[in-house]
Amino acid sequence: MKRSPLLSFAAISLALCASAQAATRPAYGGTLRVESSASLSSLDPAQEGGLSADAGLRSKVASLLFDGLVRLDESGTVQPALATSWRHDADFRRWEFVVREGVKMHNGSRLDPRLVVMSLAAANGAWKVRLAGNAVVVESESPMPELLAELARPRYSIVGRGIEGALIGTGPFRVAEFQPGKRLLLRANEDWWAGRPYADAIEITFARSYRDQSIDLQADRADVIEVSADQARRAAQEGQRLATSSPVELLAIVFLPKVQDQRVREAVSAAIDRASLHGILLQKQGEPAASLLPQWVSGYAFLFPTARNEAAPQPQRTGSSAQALTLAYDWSDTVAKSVAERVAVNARDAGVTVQVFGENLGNRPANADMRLVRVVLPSARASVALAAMAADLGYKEQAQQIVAMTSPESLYSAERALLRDFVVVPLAYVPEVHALGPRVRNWVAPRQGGWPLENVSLVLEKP
Amino acid sequence: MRSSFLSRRALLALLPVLLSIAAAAQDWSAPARELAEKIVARVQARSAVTVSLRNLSSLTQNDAAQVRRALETELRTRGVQLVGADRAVDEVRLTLSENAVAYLWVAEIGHGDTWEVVMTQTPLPAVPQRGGTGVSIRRSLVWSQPEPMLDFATADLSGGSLLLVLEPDRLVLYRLAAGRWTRESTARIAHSQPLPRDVRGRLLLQRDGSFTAHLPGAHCEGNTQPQLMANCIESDDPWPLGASADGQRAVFNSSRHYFTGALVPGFGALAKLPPFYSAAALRDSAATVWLFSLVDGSTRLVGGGGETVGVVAGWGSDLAGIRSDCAQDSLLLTTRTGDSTRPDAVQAYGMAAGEPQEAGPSAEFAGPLLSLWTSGEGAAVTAISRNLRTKQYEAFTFTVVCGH
Repeated sequence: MKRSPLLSFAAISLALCASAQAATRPAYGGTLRVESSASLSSLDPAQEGGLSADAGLRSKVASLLFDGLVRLDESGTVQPALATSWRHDADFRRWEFVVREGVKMHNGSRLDPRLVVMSLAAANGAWKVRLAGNAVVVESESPMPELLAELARPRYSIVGRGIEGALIGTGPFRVAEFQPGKRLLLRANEDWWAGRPYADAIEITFARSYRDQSIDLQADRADVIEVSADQARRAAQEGQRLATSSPVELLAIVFLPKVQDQRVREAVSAAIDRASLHGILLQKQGEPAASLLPQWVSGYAFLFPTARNEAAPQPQRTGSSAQALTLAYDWSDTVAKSVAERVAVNARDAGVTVQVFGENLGNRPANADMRLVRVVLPSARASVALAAMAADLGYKEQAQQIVAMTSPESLYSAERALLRDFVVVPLAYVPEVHALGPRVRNWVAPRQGGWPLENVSLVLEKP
Repeated sequence: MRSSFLSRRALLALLPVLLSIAAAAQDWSAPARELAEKIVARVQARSAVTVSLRNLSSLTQNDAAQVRRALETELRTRGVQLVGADRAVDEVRLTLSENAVAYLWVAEIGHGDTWEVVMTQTPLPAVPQRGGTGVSIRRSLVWSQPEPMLDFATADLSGGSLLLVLEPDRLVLYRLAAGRWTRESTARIAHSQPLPRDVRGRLLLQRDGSFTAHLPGAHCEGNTQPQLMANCIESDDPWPLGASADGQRAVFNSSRHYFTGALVPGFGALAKLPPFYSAAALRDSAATVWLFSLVDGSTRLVGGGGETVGVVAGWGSDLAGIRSDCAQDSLLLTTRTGDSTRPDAVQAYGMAAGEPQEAGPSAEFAGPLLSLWTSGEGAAVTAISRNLRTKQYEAFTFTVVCGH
């Protein structure tokens, strides 16, 4: 009888059977453990933005719980979400969206287009939002050429509000347990319209220092942690698995109204050695910034000179009395602390004495002359991002004009105007850096940052 | 039999990779014209202008030089005399930049302390063009598109060559005309339940133009002749594992991306395996062994009587069998391990001295393999990959060519 080579092979392979791991397709199951230095006391996406320390975390969590009509993919392209199609009139004042059918909310009810109307109307009082048949119509007196990118922001998530204010979303995960300021446990939404996420659950621990996060990753108590910009290079050299976004967080000084002398503000701005901030303190992560938008978003950021301006007027030389200012930074932000201290050193060269101190900026306004803030880039689209940042920085009127701008020249002019009085002094743009544990697979870092957790799967002991 | 395998191995060593990604040359004349008009409106003296250039964009040096030439041509057309910096009244500092969506050309115009800024933007280049035609090669790129593809099939019928593409919610029929696939019609596939994230599908096209399509929770039957027609219903009917609908089949988990393990008709007494991603039959002159890539990452070999005759570790989750007309043994194509953020590869295996031997070098892809199915009555394997660079979904066919 002829012996089959195949069966010979089979016998050998059985004898040599090794433990099998790592297939190509993502595995379902498991709990992904994520840690963050920031903290959330509320999950409401309507509170997105602002200059609070938790703004970035709020956006990330919102994207897990809620959907908007559209979303931006990892390359910044608009993709359908709760809307399947849309159209607009010639001057972008009227948009009409067809809402996806059959979408289930986290409480089991069907998504009602009327909820979409209510959510959008609540998110932006300048819009007229109404139903036209099954379509949702958004109208505005001013053109909205970038409405799609605007709607992709978490603040325009479609949110149902249950009894006692409970938030009800449609997103890839639903809330299983929330301990404000401490911990958030999410479960996979089995009925998500875009397909159930691979992980069964996400456990997010808040308010972990970078150091504690690093220890937890090494001890296999965490799968995804944050890495501060100044530690990213070292982490890479140590062989950590890092996921780095484009520069998406602006470090900036914001003068409070009590500092009325523009020459003082200008002197501080001109004295800052951004090259050293970027090269030494931030270990060359990101880029020095003298603009509100990073180069990869605007394309014209290079027009804002970042070099130290030795020729700028200095208060002492121009006859002003010696200045003494206070600069507050978020006490939990070690990078902000070192940057603030360097700003103080630079300011002294310009004849301005700056005293730095840490405060919990997430809870209340700083009791200082200046604040060192992190502003999370709100969008990869220049006009949407600049308008949102202008609004967060208190320039509400300008923000409304910016959002209708389409030409890069007008955006450039608007950005210059926002920075002209030196109330806001950009310092540097830094990327989001995450370190990933060995169980994490399929982490595709979006260019504009965030947590792509619906696509992440875990290497599990058993399927 | 070994000699026939070795000859095939030698053949596969020559596996050519034919990826024709045509990079369309970009026409810079329109943005150059727009920018030139803005510049001319702001220069003081058209008789003495100098242009300097720096490139902060992803344009190549060659492209940047083309842009400069295009701009200088447009400036001269408008009566501007370009001179050296030492003789210039006005300087134009041209910076080729880009943002998230467009190239941005910025011109700073002026002299001394007086400068004005003008800009123009032109969209970033589109991803490579769709299409291409299948040719008689080992691996050929048949089709690419930005929308997700689950499977595809080609056929040469009396009315011409056709390409049928299975997408998550539709079938799209293309016909070959003047060397290009041209869309003819589409048929929608409705789903009552959300599809899994890693959605999979299977398409079997017969020689008469009829077809069956399997998707999670849905089954379609239809015909491409005389025009595309499809009847899709909710169904958990088992999917065919091989190249024909009447062989071994398996139940697909409609809310996941794997088979439940239930087999129809099964192998002897074996009607249930652990959940698996894919299966392939590997035949030689004396036996047929089925290989199942299990969800736990191992590959189990099952004999005709249902007995487990081997376990292999270290292969990817997709595998498919392929036979050639010039040899009795079949080959196995497998993906490699990794995740969807990294380029994948397909490796062919044959048998030599009772052991699996790599048959030729692996075929590298520019992204993860999303689908790998035996097709063409067993003589071909279709593969879908997502190109991580272009973001296109690309459809490939593998065939074994004899006689080289």
